[in-house]
Amino acid sequence: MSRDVDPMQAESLSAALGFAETILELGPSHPALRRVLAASGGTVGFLVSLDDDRIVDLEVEIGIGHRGFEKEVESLPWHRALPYVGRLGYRGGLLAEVGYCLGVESLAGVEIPDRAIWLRMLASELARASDHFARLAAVCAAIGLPAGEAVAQQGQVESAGLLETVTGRGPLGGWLRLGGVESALAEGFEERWRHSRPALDEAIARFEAVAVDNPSCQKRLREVASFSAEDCVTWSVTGPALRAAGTPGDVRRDSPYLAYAEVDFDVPIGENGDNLDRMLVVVEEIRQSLRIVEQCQSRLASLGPGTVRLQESGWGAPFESDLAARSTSVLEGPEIPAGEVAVSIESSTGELGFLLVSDGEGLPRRIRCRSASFLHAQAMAKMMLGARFDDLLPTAAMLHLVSGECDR
Amino acid sequence: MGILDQPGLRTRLHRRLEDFDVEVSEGGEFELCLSVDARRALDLLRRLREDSEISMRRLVDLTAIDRGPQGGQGARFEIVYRLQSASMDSRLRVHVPVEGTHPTMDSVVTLWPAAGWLEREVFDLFGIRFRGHPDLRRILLAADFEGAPLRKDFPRQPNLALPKEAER
Repeated sequence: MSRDVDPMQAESLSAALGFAETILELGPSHPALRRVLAASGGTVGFLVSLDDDRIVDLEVEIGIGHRGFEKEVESLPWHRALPYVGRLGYRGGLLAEVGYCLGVESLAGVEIPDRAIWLRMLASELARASDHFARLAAVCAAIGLPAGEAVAQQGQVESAGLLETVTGRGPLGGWLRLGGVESALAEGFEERWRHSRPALDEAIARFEAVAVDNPSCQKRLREVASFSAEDCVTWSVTGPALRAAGTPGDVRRDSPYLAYAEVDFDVPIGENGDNLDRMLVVVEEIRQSLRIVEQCQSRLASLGPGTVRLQESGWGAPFESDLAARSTSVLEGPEIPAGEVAVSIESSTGELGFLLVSDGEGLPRRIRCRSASFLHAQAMAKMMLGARFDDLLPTAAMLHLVSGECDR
Repeated sequence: MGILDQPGLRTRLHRRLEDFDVEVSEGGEFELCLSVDARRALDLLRRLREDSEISMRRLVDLTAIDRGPQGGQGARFEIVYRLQSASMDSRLRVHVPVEGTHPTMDSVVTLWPAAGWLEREVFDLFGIRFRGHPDLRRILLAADFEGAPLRKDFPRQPNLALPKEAER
């Protein structure tokens, strides 16, 4: 015990007892992490230095889920990267596929059919809603709010079900193709949407009642892990965390891709950049996503039936009857000329970018994925300084650190 | 926030970077691109960030490209910076070719703190060093991993397994 500190006057318990700070190692397989982060797809480790229950230093460890994504896709023809790309996200893997396809199509200088654009948007927004609900469920699990978790899970299942109707697949994707999408809007979608839309609105409203408007929930989130608009720029924080700080930055609005310039939606913003504002932003974004889905659906109805994929050799043209030509087209995919392009989209976690470099020789020269989770994991160490230990996991859940895109 | 304005940025770049004599090109459909040699790179990047009319306050991404071991004429590696302005209405990519098989580049963490982990990743996967980086060590791979897997001469090893604890 140090003698020069009067225990009654000490600033913290550790100082009073004469301890050095406590160091705790959490994860990557800590049960608490597994409960919270399994729900958000993450496997992050934390090395936390504590003074009492205040975090004085935090090291975020990533890389446990590293699968050599970039190495792997750089050794395959362009079109065969898609199954890997779909696994970058958690419930929003489809959004990564959209970004990748946009990049490759831009590199090749091809235009995809209108229907495919609107179908991609419709599916993107359902994936966003589903991933946002999953995030909210993880946050509620982390702060011990089972009612909120259950409601968010319901919303997640409902929106994922809608997405499944569109793609015919689970959350890992595989519906997007270079040059378009695999199938037109399924016949049953309209009916399912009529039935699901009120259910989703109801889920949002109930979530607001049990979580957003709940004073004890607000107390756990307010003024926790605040990050100002300036901090967000400094640490390249994007997505809901940036908007919660009051900056209406959204790639769909700032550099519109697909047909986002033609749909009406609001970009919700917060004021304080804390976890509470992040939750408010995420909830409102689900609502805006549903608004966009509605518009996509009516546009698709007015476009009528027709092609949903580029009809060119290697891009989805009907197979030649010649067997040799057919296997070549499947194995080699479309020809991508030399060039490079950097594309960014608004994923459910934040800005997701691809830098694609082709030297025109079949295999990609470089496929780089810029993910929001990677930069958010870096920023989290700054965000948490001075915060309480209890707030670590809720913040990790709120930032939605997805291992797929963080560790790649 | 402003909608992307590429022609506006191009004019401003021409006006404000006259003394650097760099060529602004189309870097694909979505952003402008310029290339600068490694010696002047840090000065140019600082100008891009500090200049009131360009004001590239956000580092979107930082990565590298391996042009291949034989490489042809130019440098084998290129470092790529993707930048965005504070008002979000312009995006720019800067390519910096770096010479040698084990190149070193000036760190930009003092300009953009977000570069910290991004430079660590480039160090980890490409074996490129950053001068002045406060904490340059592996980030995605294990500390005892050997080699830089994103180099084109590093073979793809789908079944690569780390040695068991006992064998280490």
